[in-house]
Amino acid sequence: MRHVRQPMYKRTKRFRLTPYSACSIISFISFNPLQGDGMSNLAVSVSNLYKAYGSLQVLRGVNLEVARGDVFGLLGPNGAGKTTLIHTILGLLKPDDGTVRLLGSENRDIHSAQIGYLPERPRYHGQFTGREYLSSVGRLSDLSGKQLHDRVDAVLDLVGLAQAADRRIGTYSKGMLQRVGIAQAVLHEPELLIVDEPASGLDPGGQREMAALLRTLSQAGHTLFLCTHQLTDVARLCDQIGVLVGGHIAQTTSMAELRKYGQSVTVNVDDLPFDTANKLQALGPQVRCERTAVTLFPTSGQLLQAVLRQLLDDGVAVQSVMPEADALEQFYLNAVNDAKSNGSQPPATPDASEELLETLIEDR
Amino acid sequence: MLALRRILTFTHFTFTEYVRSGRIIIEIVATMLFWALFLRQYPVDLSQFFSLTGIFTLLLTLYTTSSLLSLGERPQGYTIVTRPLGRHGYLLSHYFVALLVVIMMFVLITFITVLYDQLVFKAGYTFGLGEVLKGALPLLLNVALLSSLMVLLSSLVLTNILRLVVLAILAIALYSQAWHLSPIFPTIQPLQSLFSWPLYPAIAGFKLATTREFVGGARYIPLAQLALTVLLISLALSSFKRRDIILRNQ
Repeated sequence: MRHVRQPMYKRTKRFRLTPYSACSIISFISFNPLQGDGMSNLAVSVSNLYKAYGSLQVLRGVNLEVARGDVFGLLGPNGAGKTTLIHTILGLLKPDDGTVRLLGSENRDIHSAQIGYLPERPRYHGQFTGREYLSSVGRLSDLSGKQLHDRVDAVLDLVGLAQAADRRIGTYSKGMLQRVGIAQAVLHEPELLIVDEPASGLDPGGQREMAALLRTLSQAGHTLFLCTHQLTDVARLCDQIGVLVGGHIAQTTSMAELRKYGQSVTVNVDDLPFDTANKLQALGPQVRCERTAVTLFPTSGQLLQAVLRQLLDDGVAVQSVMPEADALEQFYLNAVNDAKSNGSQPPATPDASEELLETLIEDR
Repeated sequence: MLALRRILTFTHFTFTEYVRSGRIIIEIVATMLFWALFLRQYPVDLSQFFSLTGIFTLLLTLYTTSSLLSLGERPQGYTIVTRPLGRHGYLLSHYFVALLVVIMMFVLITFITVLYDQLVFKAGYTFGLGEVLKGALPLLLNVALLSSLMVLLSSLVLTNILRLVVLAILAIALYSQAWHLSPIFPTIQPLQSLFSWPLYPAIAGFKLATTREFVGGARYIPLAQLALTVLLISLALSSFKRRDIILRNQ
């Protein structure tokens, strides 16, 4: 680590009312106890983060932690503030309140060489060949000489662009641009990799290849902060999951926890009487009742039997019993619906987000 | 040193992109047109040369700096500015490329003018290197000064309100003659005096480029130009550090 701070108590012990007091005071003031020692076990620590664009509050007290070496999946509806959160974490946006610590430090400049970023929209400098572009951004990350040359070759191989390395980026397909994005993000072997919608705009084949690439990176020990709508990728890759709704993290869980549960089951009925619904709800929080459906999440054989028995006992006509979404999807939907019913602001529509961005650019 | 190397790397990168994208053709065509319209018709002496190129290079600076700053506002910048180059390096590199392009065009005009005058007009006088450098120094410092003002006034750096405030200050400073007709002139006059002093180095620099007489207080004019340039670019860097970076999706 480049930047190691003394523990605070050692500084305060040194403080004396002597002719050197001024120096001690300056030393004391300049020491920020929130500044990390670089040895934290957390790759990302976000605390009580607020961010507004004018009168529109986008982030409302976000708290989350990602351990080093983990793969964290950030989920959320369109317009929930995922990209705003990522840009605030990266220091592109200034938070109105709250703190962001990356790799143990609030000062992003210290660790910027340890952070790789893949933006949502793959826009790169089209006048350069893939190899030229990677060589240039490598130099901006302080690589040089043989090390730079070797790393460029290695990442071109990793992302499968070795054959097209000497073609202009402007001629690349969207999938190839995403690969360039991954290549520039991992070129300097960052400890933390922040990836925003890696499968955005890719065809199913491209999505599968991107997922395989991310899996390779996570196996190589990178900490991945992954923002995506692809639940299958999240299920395959992530260790931890957070759902951002209405500007705050509505729920977090681990994939290990979700894997304990099976799929959810939906029992479709004609018309569920109020009394029966109450009885079913009493069976446990896993049961959610609507007028024509009863959803069991997480389900179990015993619970399903109990629900069916109750329905038949009450004379409710059962139309079908269907295994529904997997645990992750149900977890996500529950988190979003709960947040909405708890009074969180409804997420902005994608159109609204685009309009907002245009307005912001106009207002600058 | 590392920071300087990163800035030079990105300056080279941005300049290469500017050339490869063909944008530089506009500067080259404008330069050739300017030469053909104003400097080709008859042999010019150095004073005429610097008074004409002084105006042209400032106009070119306006265009080139705006063009470079618009390149800096593209989403391609996200992956650059999050690297160790940082915000300061990102902005400075664009500024340096703007200067580089204008300086190149100035060198091109000078070269063509000298060559043409010698070959076609067989001019009796010559553009001595020493005299050219004496005129070029304040002229190019004015270019740097104007470019730094453009950077400060860009949407990347200042909010709309602050840009309007700076422009209002410039308007008061520059259009002082108009205020004499106004009943509020006595109120505005102190402001005009206050705001116009920073313009003195630029105006004096333009005059110095044409006269090339570095005598008395004139010797300090380039220092004043440099100081004002450093002040403006420092303000721009300081403001850019605090800004939200929202780049256009083009």
